[in-house]
Parts: sequence; C-alpha cells; structure tokens
Amino acid sequence: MKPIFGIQISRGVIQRTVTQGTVLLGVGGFFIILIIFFSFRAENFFTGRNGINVLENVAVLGVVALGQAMVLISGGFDLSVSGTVPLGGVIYVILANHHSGVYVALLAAVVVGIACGLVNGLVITRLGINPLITTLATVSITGGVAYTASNGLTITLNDVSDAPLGNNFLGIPIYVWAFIVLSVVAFVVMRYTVLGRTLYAIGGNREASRLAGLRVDAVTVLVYVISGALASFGGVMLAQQLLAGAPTVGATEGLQSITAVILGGASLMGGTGGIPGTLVGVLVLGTVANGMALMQVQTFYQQMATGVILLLAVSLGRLRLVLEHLIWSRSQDDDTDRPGQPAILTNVVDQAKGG
Amino acid sequence: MKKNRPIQGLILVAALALMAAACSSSSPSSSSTSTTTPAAAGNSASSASLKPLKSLYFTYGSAANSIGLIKEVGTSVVDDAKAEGIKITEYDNNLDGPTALANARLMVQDQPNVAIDWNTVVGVGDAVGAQFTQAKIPCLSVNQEIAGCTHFNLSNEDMGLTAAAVMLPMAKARGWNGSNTTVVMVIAAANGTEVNNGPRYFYVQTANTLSGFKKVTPAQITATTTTIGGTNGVQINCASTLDGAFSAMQNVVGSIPKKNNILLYATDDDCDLGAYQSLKQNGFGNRILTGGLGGDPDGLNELRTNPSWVCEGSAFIQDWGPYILSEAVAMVNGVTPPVLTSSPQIMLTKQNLSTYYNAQNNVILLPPLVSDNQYLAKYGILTKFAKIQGLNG
Repeated sequence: MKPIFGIQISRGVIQRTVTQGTVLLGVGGFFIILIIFFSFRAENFFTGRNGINVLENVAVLGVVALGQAMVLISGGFDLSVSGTVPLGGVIYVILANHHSGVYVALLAAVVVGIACGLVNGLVITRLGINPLITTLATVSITGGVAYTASNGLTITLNDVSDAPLGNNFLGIPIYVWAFIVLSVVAFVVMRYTVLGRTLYAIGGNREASRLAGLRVDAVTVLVYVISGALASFGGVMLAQQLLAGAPTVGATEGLQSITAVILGGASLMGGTGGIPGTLVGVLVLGTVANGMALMQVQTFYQQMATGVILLLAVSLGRLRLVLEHLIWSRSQDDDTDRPGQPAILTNVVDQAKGG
Repeated sequence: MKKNRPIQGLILVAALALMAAACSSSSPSSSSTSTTTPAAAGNSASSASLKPLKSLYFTYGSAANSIGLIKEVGTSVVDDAKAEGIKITEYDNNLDGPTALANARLMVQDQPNVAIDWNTVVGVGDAVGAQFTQAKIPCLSVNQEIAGCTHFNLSNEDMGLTAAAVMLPMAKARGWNGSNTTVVMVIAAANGTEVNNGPRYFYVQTANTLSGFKKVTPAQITATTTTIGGTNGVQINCASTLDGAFSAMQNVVGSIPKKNNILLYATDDDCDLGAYQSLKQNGFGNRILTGGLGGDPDGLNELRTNPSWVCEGSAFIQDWGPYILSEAVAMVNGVTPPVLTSSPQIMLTKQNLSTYYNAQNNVILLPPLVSDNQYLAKYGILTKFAKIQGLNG
C-alpha cells in the first residue's frame, strides 16, 4: 500500500471508511437529510408535538416491519400481514365489545395471528410452496375472514377504556413504547441469539444451512409465527389508536413493511438486513409522509416520492456493494474477513451452532 | 455485522432527537368561544361585530384528493378562503382511517380557529373527534359525522323521500304494487347509516304508498339486510363503485321474478348506473324506474335521455366550499350551528333540470337556502362565491 501524504494508511481503514461512508450515503444519511430538509421547509415539522406525531404514525408499521424483517432476512416473504393486521384489529374490537376484557381480546387476536403464521410456515415448509404464493393466498383468506367477522363494516369500540394502549406514559402513547420495547427485543434476538444468527444463515443459503445441521424448517415456521403475531398485535394497536376495527384498515401494511425493510438495507434474496436499518426505513417512510403533509404536497406526489426514495435507497445500497466489492477484490489480504456469501455463511453457521 | 454500526448511530441520534423533542412538547393551548343560536346570530349580530376574516385560521382535511369531485370541494374551500384573506392549510385524508387520524394530529398541532374535516371512514370518527375535543379546537365535520364536531352534509333521508315523491306516483299510475314490483336498494355498506338512509327511506316510503309491500321501519333495514318480504325489497352492496354495483346486481338478479317491475334507488350515480346496466342486460328494460343521486354528469345525462331515469338528486357537492367556509366563520363568531347544517340539495326532474344545470352540466343556479342553513347567508361568503335562488340569483 502506497503512503498517502506520507502517511501509511492500512487497507482495512480505507475499506471501513468507504463502507461506512456508503452506508451513510444510504438510507441513514437520507433520513438525516430529510429531517434537515423538512425542518427548513415544513412549518411545525421540527417540534416536539410533531416528533410524537411521527412516532405515533409509524408505530404500527414499525411493529409489522419487525416481523417482516425477520422473514425477509430468512429468505422469505410475508404478504399475509395485510390481512392479519385488519383481522387482529377486528377480532380485538369484537371481543372487547363483548366484554371479554382487554387482555383476553388482545391474547385472542395475537393467537389468531400466530395461527395465520403457523399456517404460512407449514404450507411453505411442508408443501414446498413459494412464500409469495402462500402468503398471497393467506392474505386473501385472512382479509376475507376480517370482512366476514365485521360484516364489511367498521366496528367502533364501545368503551374507550378498552383502548389502554392509547393512554400516555411520559407524554407518549403506550403503543409507541410497545413499539420501542419490541424493537429492542427484536434487535437483541437478531444480533445476539442463536435464532437470529440462524435466520441470517438460512437466508444466506438455505441448503447449506440444512447441510450444516440447522433446523431450517422449524426456524422458518417460527419466523412466520413471529411475523403473524406481530402483525396481529399491530392490528390491535391500530384498533386502539382508531378506536375501531375495520377489514380495510391496515390492509396496506404488507407492501409498506416490505418497503421499509428493503429501505433499511435488506435484500429480497435474504441473508442481509437488520433491525436498525428496518427502523430507519420505517422512520423514513413516516417522516416523508409527515413532512409532505405539512408541506401540503398532494398525496399523488407522496406516493411517487415513496417510490423514488425506495429506488434511491436500494440503488445506493447497490452502489455500496459495488464499491465494497471493488475494494475487496483489490485487496491482497485474501485471508482477512472478506465479505461474500460463503464466508459469511460459514461464520454465521459456526455461531449459530455455538462455535 | 460491523457494517451496521453507522446505521445504529444514526438511528440512535434520530430517536434521541425525536424523544427529546417529544418530551419537550407542550400541550396545545385551548381556545374558547361564546355561543349563540343561528337564529339569534342572524337577527342580532351586525357585520361590524364579526371577527375580521383576515384574522382567521382554518385547517381542512379533504376526504380524498384522488377523487375529482372531492378535490373540487377542497380547492373551492381553500381558494375561497384565501380570496377572503383567511389562512388555511389543507390535508388529504386519502379515504384512509389512519391517515385521517394522523392528519387530525397535524391539525391540532396547527391550532386553527376551526378544524374542518371530511373523513370517510365512519368508525374512525370517534378517534378523530377525540383529537379535536381534547385539544379544545372547534371542529366541523363534512359529509361523515365526527364525534364532538358540528356537521355539514346533505340529508340522504330527504333525498330518499323526495325521490319517492317523484317516482311512486308514476309507479302507481302504471299499476305497480307489491305483487309485481321489486324495490332494489343499492347501498355502500361500509359508509355508515346516514349515507344509506336514501335507499332505506325510499323503501319505507314505497311500502307505505304502494299496496302489497311488506312494511318495515327504517331501523329494521340495516347494512346486512339482503331481502325484505321475499322479493318486495332486495338490497345489494355496491361498495361505492360502478363495477361493484354491476357485479353485486348480477349475483342476485336471478332471484328477482322475470316479470317484475323494478324501482331502483342507490346511494350514488355510479352505484345506480352499475345496477341499472345489470338489470337492463337481464331483460328488465323499460320496466325499470330509477332516480339517481349525486348530480354527476352521467346521472344528469341519463335524466335528459333515459325514459327510465326519472329524477336525479343533486347535492351540488362541487359548490359546497362557500357553505363550509360560512359555517366555519359562523362558529368562530360564536354561533352554535344546528345538529345538521344542510348542504344545498334538490330533486331534479326532467322539467326543472335546466333551471339549475346548463347543457354542459355546469351549475347555473343553486337552490334556495332552507331553515337550517339560512344562517350562513349573513357572512357574505355565499353571495360572493355562489349564485343562490332567492338570495342573489
């Protein structure tokens, strides 16, 4: 390595700097730029009240996206959340209105979400049907059940006290705190547990993971169960926000959550991504919607902007990979921690197996 | 895994910023107004005592700017307000409950004198209304009720009854009764009771006027009702769309005796047209009498050209802007509006159509003010931006 301005800089430092720089250029940096932009252009954007607004608005999407991130990282796909979210909300409201009590209604809704996830996981692993097709079918089924259960109507919560998640704690609704707590738990699981490592391994190379002795099918079922439970819980949160449940409310969460996870650096091929990136993706979507609403930008443009942002973020992520690849390919230290599927897989499988 | 550290740093910074901002927020200040009744306001207050329009700030939540007619209302509200010097901020609820709730939060943050909101998701009205009432911001709901807000809307019940008043004498003259006639009610099930009042009051009035129909009360006809008295009444859900009405009608048309006459009434012109086309294609042809609702160009053209289309309820939705603004101004000036402030509405027939619409389907005159919207006249906005029969036209 030649000295630069007489200073010998190691290849590792350059590699790390470029990697971090490109990440900063990605969705994280974009998020900061968004905040700065809207702070100057949108009246009332950089205020305390609006900070809470953004968090309140993204809480449900955030919870759903946590499950979606796990599924995508494991190489799957979960469109069924678009049916599970409204179904969870409808079930919660119906049971709460029948005086079942908040906890029973909540538990029942989450159990239904778990059942949906279980069906997804079993169909995908036992019948070998593509996750896209499977969850496309189950979104139709769960959505249909939500319509049937509600007669196609919006059902209002009879008693506001059945929406305790809407109460404030330290000036912030409890459902926002629930989102924060679940995010921390998901982060810990994905970063520090065998399950998290296994998901990365399965997403990186499913067959190799199986050959390496990982319980691929069981973990796949589990991850859909988690996604179903989180989606259903998201539906309950939404019902408590809106004081109502409806078969149409929350039906866009599937594509929105996938968008957020992809924005956060995940790949549809699996094996990459993470909870922090997902949360940034969620906040980007929420901030764009909030900032544009404050700027009175028409909804059509908001839709277009979301699409452009997705393309931009994914392109920057791709650019990052290309830059990394260029740098690594010139590296003479081939035995260092070079990225690439086989090396990562080996590393992750070792860790997943406790090695 | 090291690659994610910059992202973690960013999210930490952003989250801390949001949390810090959240913790430093203060509760919105409250505003209050003394109130008088519309009649009292109309008689006693002079324009000199009114709050200057240039000092007012309103927010407006549009139902959906993706729908041309609704966008037209929003454009009218915003443009007319700006022309009067009223500061106004517009949001788009996009036919979505969560979006309506998010926008309500933004409106509260704006601290307007009046928050005007058109939310289409009926059950979400309580959550949206709670935002305004907790912040003590006076609110005005448009078209769909929002808990705690005063309300501006057409009366669908009146529409159903006036349509019946036009159609039933014709049916009676043709010898139609419960043994040879089916009333087809086309509703938008998810849009709530008020919106569906037109078809159900139409049926109730039919049963009270023509012999042989099973009599029911309006309350007995709900969104889940499918038939009344065998084939006396058939109700379908059009989901507010033309194709939804067509396919829903196709599904049940086989259950209606082929020899029967049809009295068709729907919640809007699209639903009416969809069901009408299905009935026509299934052989009912000139044994249909129908009345549209909405005053859409399609409906107006049918009224001009189709012998079966005998009336068309128009609520002049595209002209709601000055009425809505006037009601908001009235609220700021201490008036307590009636439970429902009526929009301009009239049942058009082939005879009176040209009084209100020209051949290009543009409104040339609005119907006279009635008792529960008469109080809007005093603020000058109606006379400036609308041409109303008996007022300035």
